[in-house]
Amino acid sequence: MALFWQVTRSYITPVVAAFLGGYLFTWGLVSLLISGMVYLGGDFHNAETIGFLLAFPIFLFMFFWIFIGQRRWLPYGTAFIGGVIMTAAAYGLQTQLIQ
Amino acid sequence: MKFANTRQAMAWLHTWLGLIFGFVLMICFFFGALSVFDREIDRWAIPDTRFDPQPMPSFDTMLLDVFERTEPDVAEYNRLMPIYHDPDAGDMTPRTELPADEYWAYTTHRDPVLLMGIGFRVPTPLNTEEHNHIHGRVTIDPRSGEELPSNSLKIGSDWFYPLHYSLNLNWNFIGFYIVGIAAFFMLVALVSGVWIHRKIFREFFTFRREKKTQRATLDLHNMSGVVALPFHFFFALTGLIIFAAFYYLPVTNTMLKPLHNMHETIEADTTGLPHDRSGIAASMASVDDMVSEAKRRWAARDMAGEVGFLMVHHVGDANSYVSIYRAGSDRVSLVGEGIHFKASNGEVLREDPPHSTAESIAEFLTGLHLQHFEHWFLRWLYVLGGLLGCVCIATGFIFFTEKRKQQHAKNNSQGSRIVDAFAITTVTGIVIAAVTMLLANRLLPADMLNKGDWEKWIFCIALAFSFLHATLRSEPVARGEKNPAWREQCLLIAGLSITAVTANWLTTGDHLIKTIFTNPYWAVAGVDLSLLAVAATSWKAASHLQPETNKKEDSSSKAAYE
Repeated sequence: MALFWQVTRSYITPVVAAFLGGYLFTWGLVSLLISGMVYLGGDFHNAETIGFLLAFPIFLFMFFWIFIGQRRWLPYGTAFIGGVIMTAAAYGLQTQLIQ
Repeated sequence: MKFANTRQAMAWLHTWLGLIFGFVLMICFFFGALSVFDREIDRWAIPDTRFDPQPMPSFDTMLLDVFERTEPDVAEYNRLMPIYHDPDAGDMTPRTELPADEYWAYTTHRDPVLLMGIGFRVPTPLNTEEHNHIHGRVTIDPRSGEELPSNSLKIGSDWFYPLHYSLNLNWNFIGFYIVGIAAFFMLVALVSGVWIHRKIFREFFTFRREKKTQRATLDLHNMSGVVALPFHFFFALTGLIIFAAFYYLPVTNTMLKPLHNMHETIEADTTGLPHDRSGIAASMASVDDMVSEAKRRWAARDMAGEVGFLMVHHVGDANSYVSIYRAGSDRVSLVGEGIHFKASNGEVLREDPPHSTAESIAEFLTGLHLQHFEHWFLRWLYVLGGLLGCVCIATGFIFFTEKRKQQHAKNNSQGSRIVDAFAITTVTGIVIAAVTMLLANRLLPADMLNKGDWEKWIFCIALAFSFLHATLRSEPVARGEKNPAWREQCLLIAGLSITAVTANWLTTGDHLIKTIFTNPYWAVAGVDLSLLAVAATSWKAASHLQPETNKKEDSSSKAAYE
């Protein structure tokens, strides 16, 4: 059992954290990009396409940054806090747009 | 987690994520490679469809009649109708009385048969904002309008092709998510692989087959990884992009859905293509005339071509319109140059304008992945790239066990044994499953009830057999030796492949002399020749995998003879 927890803590947790953090950041960035571009008068589908083209290279970069960062506050903070802030901002912009 | 340096962290990522997701990626790469010739495999599996590709037939005289007699799918109706229907509005509309809301027909330059689909609307939906469609699908012979028997499974396009992006695990789209996560970690494995193997140019030219298995395998792993590195990276990335909006990053289908819906309404106003039904019934003008007009307009733009996709929206309503898209067989980008007509009078409502730079890039990337273009040499290069991906992953598995099995044997650990059994299942096992399925297709009677379902079960049973066999025969790995299942399964593949080619000859009369020389039909000849190539390769592999004792006996008897 001790080995299981050691493997989970030492190996699985950092990979899962990097994956989730990277995903959250990418989600926030893409949603903010789409709602932001539409807010500025851009075309919805064009914004959506740009978002999806950029999404996975950014996700990949964030994954490596968080993983290599090894629990340092900057990559973790950028990914998780930044992701939440961008998601909230995108939601706020959408609310303004549909009103 | 503490690593001495970044390179060590990358090596850890590459080894373990590559191993865990490699089992899924083998399926994606192998069946992705087969999907390049999915239509040709369909022709092999359904002998009644072995004729030349046909253009889109007449809508007015043939397709409309087929659309009108096609019914909603029973399973889909039973699953979705209780969800879509508003119970306060009374009883559910019976399946056969659902009204059609959209028709579509789709063909490519490789299709003798025509795939058609109908979206039936639910008259009393619970959520009026949603699409609420229950579908019906049918494949016809476009020369006669006759339907293909529903028990015929298109093994290439309806089993191997979806296997590579969904594993055919459709419960809650779980297969899509597993493949998506595996594709992302494929990108991670590629980047970390380049990071740890810095001398990438030298590894391009390094393959020392005379060295020990572990060294030679690593050389081959590096070489196959480097040779097709852009191919592997591109396919994993574009695979993710293709499904991003639906499964992997559904921002605009979930959180930004209200914005998406608002945009759809605005778009309908600006394009003149009605978003909703008007509720006023209307008849439909000649769609064949609309097709002629679309072809004339494409020719005027110096891009004469055939119709690839045709869709009628809001069937039977005054707001109905017909969208006609060009088959993209002469270009990489997946663009249809759509022209839209008012259904009631055939008036042109809109021609799709040139797309933005970002959309053009996305169309090029997805077009390159889905390869609708007509270029046979390039298609074979795709197969080669896919198989190189399989070689890269398979050699990764072998290197993993070769590196550890002696140590595991000393420590009495079963780690290498388990990995080896999974590796056999996903390397030789998937080939056995695919070839067994093809063989079963030729041996089961054509009119057998649910023949396609039986073929699917046989595929799954063959894969399970491979795993069971690999596990039961894995005891030598625990002693640091080779698993004899590798050799035995290679021999089985060789036998099955030759039997499948023979069975095709005996059951259809289409032998290779006929399909190559006397009455050429390259779709079937290509599958037969590929099966023979598989048989030869696996036989050769099996002869290299002889047990050590046999090899010693062979060499001593050879020496005695000399």
